[in-house]
Amino acid sequence: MQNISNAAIADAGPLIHLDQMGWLFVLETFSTVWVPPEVAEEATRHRPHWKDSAPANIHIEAADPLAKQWWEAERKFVQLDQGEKAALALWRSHQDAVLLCDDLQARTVAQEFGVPVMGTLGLILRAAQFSLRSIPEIRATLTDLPRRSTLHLKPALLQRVLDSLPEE
Amino acid sequence: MNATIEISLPSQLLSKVQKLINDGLFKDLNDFFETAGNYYLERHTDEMWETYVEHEIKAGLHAEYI
Repeated sequence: MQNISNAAIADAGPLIHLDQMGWLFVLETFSTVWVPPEVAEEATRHRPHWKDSAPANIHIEAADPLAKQWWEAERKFVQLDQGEKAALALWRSHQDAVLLCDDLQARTVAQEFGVPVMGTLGLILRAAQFSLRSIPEIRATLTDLPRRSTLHLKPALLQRVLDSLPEE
Repeated sequence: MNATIEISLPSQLLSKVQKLINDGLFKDLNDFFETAGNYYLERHTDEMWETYVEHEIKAGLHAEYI
């Protein structure tokens, strides 16, 4: 099993999708998962009881207002929602953290600024890297993803993810 | 050329959309859903999904995040 290393900052998408799959436990593979209040509220709107299943390393923390101002100054930033803006602003205070995000636009902006990014698919695969679940269990979870979550993904792309899994 | 479709929506979502129309932000439901559809399509191209999946495999299995 890998050592738990990175901290993470969560946007709402992965929290919602992982809770839909009963997979919030995979967040235990991070030392800390910072969640801005805006993101927590958004996740709660979609999944009222997500916090009940969340691991103990999740901490709600507001972004520094100055960091929000810095991001607001970026022109592309206006296309992002409040949770995505808050998560990116919080990253200014935790630059060793990985941003957990599924929104394609927010990920593009984040990567332009050198912010490391990972989404729901990567988090489920991470269970293999950390030996949290067996390969057949991870395969079954990924196969169920379109039916049990609101993460929309073409079957051909999901198959590519399944094909990437190591041999059982 | 336009096509006509029938859709079913959660009533709470429809109320929110209707409020935007009443506030004058959109002409009608057609205007809203055409805008919403285009907005989604422009931000979720096939190329972006391909990049997303390749990145997720590298991040999830090999801890390569950039």
